[in-house]
Amino acid sequence: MNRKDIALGLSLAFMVLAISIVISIEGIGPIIPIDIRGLGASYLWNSYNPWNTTLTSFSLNAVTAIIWDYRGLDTFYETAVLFASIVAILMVLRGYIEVKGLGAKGLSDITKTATKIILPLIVTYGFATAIHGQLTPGGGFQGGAIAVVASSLIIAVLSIEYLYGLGISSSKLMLLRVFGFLGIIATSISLAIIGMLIGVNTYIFQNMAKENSLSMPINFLDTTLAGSIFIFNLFEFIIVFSGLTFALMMLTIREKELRNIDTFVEEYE
Amino acid sequence: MTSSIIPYLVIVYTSILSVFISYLVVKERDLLIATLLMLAQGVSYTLIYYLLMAPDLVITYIPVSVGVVPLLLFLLIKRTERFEK
Amino acid sequence: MSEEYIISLAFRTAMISFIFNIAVALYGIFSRPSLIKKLLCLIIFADSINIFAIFIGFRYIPSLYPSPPILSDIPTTVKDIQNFVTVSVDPLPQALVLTAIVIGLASSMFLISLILMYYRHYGTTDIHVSEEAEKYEEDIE
Repeated sequence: MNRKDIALGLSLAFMVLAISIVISIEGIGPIIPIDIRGLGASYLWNSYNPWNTTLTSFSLNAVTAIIWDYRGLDTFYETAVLFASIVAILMVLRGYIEVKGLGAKGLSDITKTATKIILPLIVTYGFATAIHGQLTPGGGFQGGAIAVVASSLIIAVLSIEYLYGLGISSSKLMLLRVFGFLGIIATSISLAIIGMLIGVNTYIFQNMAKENSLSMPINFLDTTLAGSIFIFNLFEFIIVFSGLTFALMMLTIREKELRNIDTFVEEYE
Repeated sequence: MTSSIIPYLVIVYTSILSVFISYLVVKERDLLIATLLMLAQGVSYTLIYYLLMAPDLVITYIPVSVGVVPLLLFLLIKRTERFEK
Repeated sequence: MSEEYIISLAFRTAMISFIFNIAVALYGIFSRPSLIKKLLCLIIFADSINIFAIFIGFRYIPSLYPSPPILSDIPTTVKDIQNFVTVSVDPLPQALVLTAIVIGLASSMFLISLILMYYRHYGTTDIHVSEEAEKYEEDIE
């Protein structure tokens, strides 16, 4: 233990002691309040309220309404951040090629058969969670994250040769990802463009009718559909599934495919 | 003591368990076992999210911290070094 | 020893244990020489802060347990919505933490691919060894 480690330990212990004293004398507010804050209470009050058609969003799940309707711009930029990280992975590993027919072929036959039975069930469960986002706990990210478990099972049990054999290459996954992103952009400005053509006053990311009469569809036969929240959840499922599968495929490429990277850099410079 | 304070006692027990597990993660030299311990800590955090009544976070935190990130870390450890120092 | 006192004590202990978690993870980032260990401790640090944000949104009702922010009476009347506002937890921190989890996943994926290219260039993931190698290269030139 040299002196740097001891000084580090002492300063961290001092920080823990100071913050603990501030918390236990209730310096940052009561520990468990009886009433929640006014902003949270107003979101709960207005998220499914058929008598207040200006502020409501007809969604039974308050968290999904906050993510896609009341604070929709935050979620849009978070999708862009996920896109930027995938582009960064592609940029760091540039110059790779896809080689078929090398390496191991996966685990034993019993494991492969059992996995092939389970895979469609996992994707169906993820899709069902994604499109019921306004009725139960669920939504776009949740369903997409569940469906990515299926593709990580393919990569771990059946080998990556199976994905190449199915015809899924990295450029097709990138195309699907960009299609999903364009779908979200199109949904968010669709009502604004229709309003501009007709001549009424509309907003971007508008879900329900404000002071005019344009709004996204509200009901589907007898369950609530919450307008643009349903469409956003569909596109977000496609985005998360294809983006994370693409990143998994990028990080499992083998040495022979990676060997092209150094020569690529040298002849470029 | 009524039986309605049992959820709060489970929260206390799980938080103290997660401090112990994260101390073990820092001390371990074999990186494969450190990743498995980080996975166990993710499970204990999921239990706390459930007891604090946040079901959306439970079904998005389990695939992220028990499925995708440890798989990428295992692939990385296979290509680089396994024991530190 | 009323019930409210025991519950408040339990919550204080849980909050202080998350501050301990943050301190242990910070110690792991600064003092371990391997890059992969630093990445593991960074992931633990980010997760502890997310849990702390959800703790702030909880509430206490004297003889019930609070309910998740999902309305479950169809068709609804005004009395149902009034009951929902007095029993449910705060939905706003949950929405912010959902965004934070996805952004943490994005930055972890990028850091993993950077560590892979660092290993291919220097041949090691130990920062003390690669610092020596870089100084040796500078001395030669």
